[in-house]
Amino acid sequence: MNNSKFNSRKILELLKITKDFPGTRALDEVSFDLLENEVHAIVGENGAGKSTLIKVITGVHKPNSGQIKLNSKLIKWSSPRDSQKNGISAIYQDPTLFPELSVAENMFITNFPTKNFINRVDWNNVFMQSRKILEDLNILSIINPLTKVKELSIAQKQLVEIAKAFTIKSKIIIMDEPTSSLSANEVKNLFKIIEEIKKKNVSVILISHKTEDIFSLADRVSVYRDSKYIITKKINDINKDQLISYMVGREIKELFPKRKVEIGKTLLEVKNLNLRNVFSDISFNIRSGEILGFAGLVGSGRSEIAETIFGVNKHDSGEIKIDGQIIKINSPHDAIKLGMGFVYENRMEHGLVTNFPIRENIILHKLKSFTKNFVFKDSLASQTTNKIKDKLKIKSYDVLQLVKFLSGGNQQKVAISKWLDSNAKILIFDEPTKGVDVATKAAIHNFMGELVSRGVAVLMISSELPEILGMSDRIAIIQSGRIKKIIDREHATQENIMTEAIS
Amino acid sequence: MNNKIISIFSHRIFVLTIMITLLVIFVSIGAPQFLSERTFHNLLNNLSILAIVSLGQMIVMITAGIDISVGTAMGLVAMSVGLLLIEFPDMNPIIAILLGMIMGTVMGFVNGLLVVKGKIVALIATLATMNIFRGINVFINNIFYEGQYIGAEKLSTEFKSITRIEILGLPIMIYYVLLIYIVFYFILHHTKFGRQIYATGSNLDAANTLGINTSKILIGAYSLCGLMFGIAGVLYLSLYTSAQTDTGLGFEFITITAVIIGGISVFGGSGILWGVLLGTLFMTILTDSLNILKISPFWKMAINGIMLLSAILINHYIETRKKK
Repeated sequence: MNNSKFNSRKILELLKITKDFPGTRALDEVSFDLLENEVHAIVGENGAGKSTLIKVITGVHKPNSGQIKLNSKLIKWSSPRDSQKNGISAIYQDPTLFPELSVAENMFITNFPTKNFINRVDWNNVFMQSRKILEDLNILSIINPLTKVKELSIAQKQLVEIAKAFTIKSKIIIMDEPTSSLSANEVKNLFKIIEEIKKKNVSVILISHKTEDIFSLADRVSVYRDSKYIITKKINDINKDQLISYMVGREIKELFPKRKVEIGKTLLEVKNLNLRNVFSDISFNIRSGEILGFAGLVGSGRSEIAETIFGVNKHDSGEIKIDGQIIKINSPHDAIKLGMGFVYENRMEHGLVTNFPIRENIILHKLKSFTKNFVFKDSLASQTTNKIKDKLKIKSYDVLQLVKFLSGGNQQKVAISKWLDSNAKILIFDEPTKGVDVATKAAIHNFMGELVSRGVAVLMISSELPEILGMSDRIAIIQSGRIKKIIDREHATQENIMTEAIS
Repeated sequence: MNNKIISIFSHRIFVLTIMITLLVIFVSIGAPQFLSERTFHNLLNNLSILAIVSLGQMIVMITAGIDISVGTAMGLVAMSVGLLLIEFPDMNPIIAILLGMIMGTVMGFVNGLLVVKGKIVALIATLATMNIFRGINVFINNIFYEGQYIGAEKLSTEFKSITRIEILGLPIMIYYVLLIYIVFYFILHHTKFGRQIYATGSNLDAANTLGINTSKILIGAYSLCGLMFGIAGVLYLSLYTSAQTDTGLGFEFITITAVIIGGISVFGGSGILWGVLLGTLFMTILTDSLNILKISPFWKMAINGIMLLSAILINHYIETRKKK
């Protein structure tokens, strides 16, 4: 690393960028700068604001306040077209490919070379250039530019995403988790490519959860946490442990009402569960009265594993035992009948019928016990749900208020309350306290405590390390669709969980 | 181009050809008069009007939209141009066609605006305009022509002749259709706009993220659909020398069915126009032969419905099998 590099000029600069989404502040006066010919890594936990930051740079999101400077000039993008025209291209984590079109077409879809006045697409040129780019990237042997994208594997698609960035004369290339579905060999290849493009006067912004990527590629690294900017360091001035402590570096202030509960017999046992391309070899068990925490990054397969156990997806192989019995679960309906429950991360999509009143949402899954001869027992339903409402301190006029008019925290309470007096003995919580206020959080944690003291086995997925550490008896760390490690409560720290999750 | 792509498309076209042949054989056995030259020419003429409207419908459906106003919109164009021709009998037919094109494009543009800027689901937006267009049709017909239908005697021979010439023994309409299809084959497959129509239909979010001006693409698609029913409206008036308040009734159904039979996915993003031409041919033969075989109207409608359902189910089956 030569010193002159760090004296080179800033080509991109973000100053005090703030971006609000309804209900959350995704970026809070965040700063960032990019020098010529550097690879600048952006790291942070889930929800730190990395993806939003990228989308502000590319013009997908407009910041609420703050300045963006490109080559020292103040700029305002109104759409991604503007940033592209100025030589910024991005490789997004979510695929931006068109399955019905060919690889070559996908690469040039926004900027086809055309000829003559009617803007006829110059196909020869398209195919020649795409061949050339794929050849330069050393992937022509595995990707035919004429193949339709829907026929490619996930790794091939990711390589096409990367190739797309080279179709315009990019000055800045942004890579959001470029290696997440590549094999070791393909990653090595990509690293070579990145080293090459640095020489061509191109700067790279690299977002990665993999520390080896960062330490072998980046010149500088910036850390973000909880929507805030933390620090920027030259890569030589920092080591992996320091980096992780910057990422997690908060004190655990919140109190977690961890109850002392007698741990009983194994209720749920999962053995060698596989779902092709999603997760593999998942084995764990949960005992009565126990909370098993699922830690790991978004996209590591945590939710998919839980959903598969609950029957949302069909697994390819492996077995699931409840109470020592091998069981077959084909749908969530089966799972509920077997005594399982699921509180979904996305309560609007899965967990609640928002156009229904609180009462109907709470009793929807057991309507049978509230009907007699096809007649709905109105007063009994109101009585029962009023009790639950008081117990969970759901704030509303009455139980007939529509769920869509409740706050996020109260909605989550309704979603959870469904399981309060059910006879579910295994409950899965996917991000149970995401986006709720502190009081609701405490209520939900209390509720989980009550469940386990009744002998329920709980599987809790959470991106919040303090919550994982505070609530779980054991913690399974998921990385790239595998259980990396299962650690006991006594041995778990933010640092060692993060280390396992990202390496 | 890619051999695989060609093989898939030719597959669809191969299947459609066989289906059409079987249908023709089946109908000819039931009603030998079906094979007469007169029937054949009628068939080609009927096909032509539908094929032009189907092409517009297809462009909208590639964007994952739908336009159910096409039938009444075509009827409104036919009525408006008809009324103008009564007022100005010496109007040059080319001017009449241009007027129809402009009217249609504007109407399609309005559909596009409602869907894109008004953010109304295409089915609902065009359901509304379908009725508005029909209402306007009845209104202007009453105001300017006392509610009578426009018949052959009111139209000039010159205007009627634009659809009634024969070239090499075939009605000129079929040449119009081929010309339009060739031009649109070029637009859809060899221009940036065309490819971006497919991209937008295939993955709207991705297209937006990449900076494709999807509003422009979508409004453009609806406007092109309007251009098509505009042209079809004028040709309809000339060919059938009639414009009534219910002209074009049911066209939305037949064109949507033809497009789906032709292999366009209801989810958008895929399909080619030659399939749509054959799909329309299939639907035309079916409709005409049901008339020749004197099938009761109830059965005609039921058969149409069954065609649409089976086409969707078959497409779906092919898609899921390809994925495995």
